Parts: sequence; structure tokens; C-alpha cells
Amino acid sequence: MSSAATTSTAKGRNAPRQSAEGMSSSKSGVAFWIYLMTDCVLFATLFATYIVLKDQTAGSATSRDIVNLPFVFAETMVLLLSSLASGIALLYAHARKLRPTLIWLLATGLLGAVFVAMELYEFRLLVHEGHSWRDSAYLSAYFGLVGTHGLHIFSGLLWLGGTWLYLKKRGFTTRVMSRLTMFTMFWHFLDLVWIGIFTIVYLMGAL
Amino acid sequence: MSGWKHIEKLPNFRAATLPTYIAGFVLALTLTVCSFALVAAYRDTSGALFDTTTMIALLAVLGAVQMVVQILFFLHLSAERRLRLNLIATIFTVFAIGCIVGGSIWIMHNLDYNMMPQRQTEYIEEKEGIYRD
Repeated sequence: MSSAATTSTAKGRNAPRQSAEGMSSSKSGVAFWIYLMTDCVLFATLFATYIVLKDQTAGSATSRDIVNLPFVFAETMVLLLSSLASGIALLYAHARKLRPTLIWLLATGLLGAVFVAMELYEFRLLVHEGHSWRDSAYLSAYFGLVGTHGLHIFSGLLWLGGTWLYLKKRGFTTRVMSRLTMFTMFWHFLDLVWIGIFTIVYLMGAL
Repeated sequence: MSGWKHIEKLPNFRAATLPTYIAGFVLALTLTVCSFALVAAYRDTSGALFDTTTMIALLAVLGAVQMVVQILFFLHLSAERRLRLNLIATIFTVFAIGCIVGGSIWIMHNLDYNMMPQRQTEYIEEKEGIYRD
């Protein structure tokens, strides 16, 4: 065992990387990143669809009619703060401070929930005013793109809830740290997609 | 630390620090406020500020810069060796997104232009310099 350790130090980066958990898990960091990249491509297709169909309003609402800038700005701030809070939670997790980690993760989750609630309120208002996804190609593309992002946030909240309970019960195990690291990546990534949405859908739509 | 092998390939593993998060947050906030203020100013002056094409270009640049800021400061992607695969995957994804979004806009715009309804043929005739007797 000790000779193996010496060899791996001598060989540097060519040393065998797999731990007791096996070869495949040593690559799961890259695998998760590649998942995020494929999600980027998914959103790219939805953005492309939206941009192409933007003016096909079929006499229904145009983008200028449905954009409420102060409301979207508030949504943006809530999501940005949630993203920041998840990052700070990860820093506390690296420092092995359980209580602050739990509190910052709770803040992340609450802000995320506020974001989902605001988006649902926005959708409900639109449908209520007679601008449903059935009314035009533009509205279908709008609900499709923004709704897919909202669904990602919602599933992120479920993931966060599970991880939070796990962390509270078991403390900083390797598994919980791995989940937390991946969750914060996912959360920052969703904020990245939101930049595209508020720029292309809301700000360019308001011109 | 053998238990960490499986997440050390994630960009934010051990690279994240409070100053980078705060710097990223301040930059992102500034860029967001700039974007929204620009559109508010455009609306207040009812379009006299810039023309629509300039506005779209400015907003696209502000959005792209903020994406880069968040990738560097929040996702902590960098060119270091442990992240080489992540970087290659990201560059390929950016290329794929360019093809999907750019290609769709290009092709569909062409299609729109070539398949305009009858009532707009006059517009094309004028634009292309075609005159009927």
C-alpha cells in the first residue's frame, strides 16, 4: 500500500486516479458539467424557436404588451441573490460550518421559491387576460421557453430540499458535499440562462 | 482526501472564495441595472435615444458580458489543467449554440423574406428595384 502511494506521488498526474469508489465516479464531475452543456443546447433550441416566432402573434398579444419591466427586474434580482446565497452556502460547507450552511441554503431555497411564485403569478395573469399559450405561435414559444426555465428552477428546489434534509441529518459526508457542489453549479447555470431570457424575451421584447 | 476525486473536476470545487462571489455579484448587478436602465430610457424618450438595431446590439453585448462574468466568477470555469475537459466541452457547446441560434435566424429570415404574402410583394419590388409597367 505504501509503495503504491509512493509510486503515485512520483508519477504525478499520471498516477491512478480512481479511489475505492472506482473509475467511473472519478469522472462524474465532468459528466455533470457535460449534462449542463447539453441543457445549454436544449435552451438554445428554445431560444432559436422563440426568436423565429417572435413576430407571429396572430392578432393576439405582442411582446410589447406583456412585458412588465419592474416586475421582471424584481424577478432578476431574486434569482441573482438566490444564486449568490447558494455560493456562500458552499463556502460555509467547505469551512465545515453546519449552521450557516443550512441557513444560506434555506435562503437560496426561499428566494428560488419566491421566483417560481412570481413566474406562476405572471403566467396566471397572462392567461387571465386572454393571452394563453394557445393563442399564437409567439405565446407558445414564450410559455415554452420561460416555462422550461421555471420547471428547471422548480426541480432544483426539490433537489435542494432533499440535500438540505440529508445535510441536517448526516452532516458533511462526502456524498452531501458532492451533491452541494453539483447543486450550486446547477443553480448558477440557471441564473446564466435567465440572463438570456431577460435580455432576449423581456428587454428586447419591450423595445 | 481520496473521497473527493469524484468532484474535483467541478470548476467550483475549492476554487470559490468570498471575494470572487462578491465581485461577480457586484458586476452582475451593475450590468443588469445598465440593461434595464437602457430600455427604460429608450421607452421614456419614445425611441429617440437610439434606433432599435443599436438597442438590440447594446443589450446583446451587455447580456453576453454578464454571462461571461457569471461563468468566471460564479461557475469558476478557468483554463487550469484539471478543467481542460470542461473547457473543451464548453467551447464546443458555444459553437453548437451559435449554429442552432444563428442558423435558425438566418434560414428563417430568408424563408420569411422569400415567402411573403401577396400584399407585400410591392415592398419587395420596390426594395429590389423591380418596376412593373
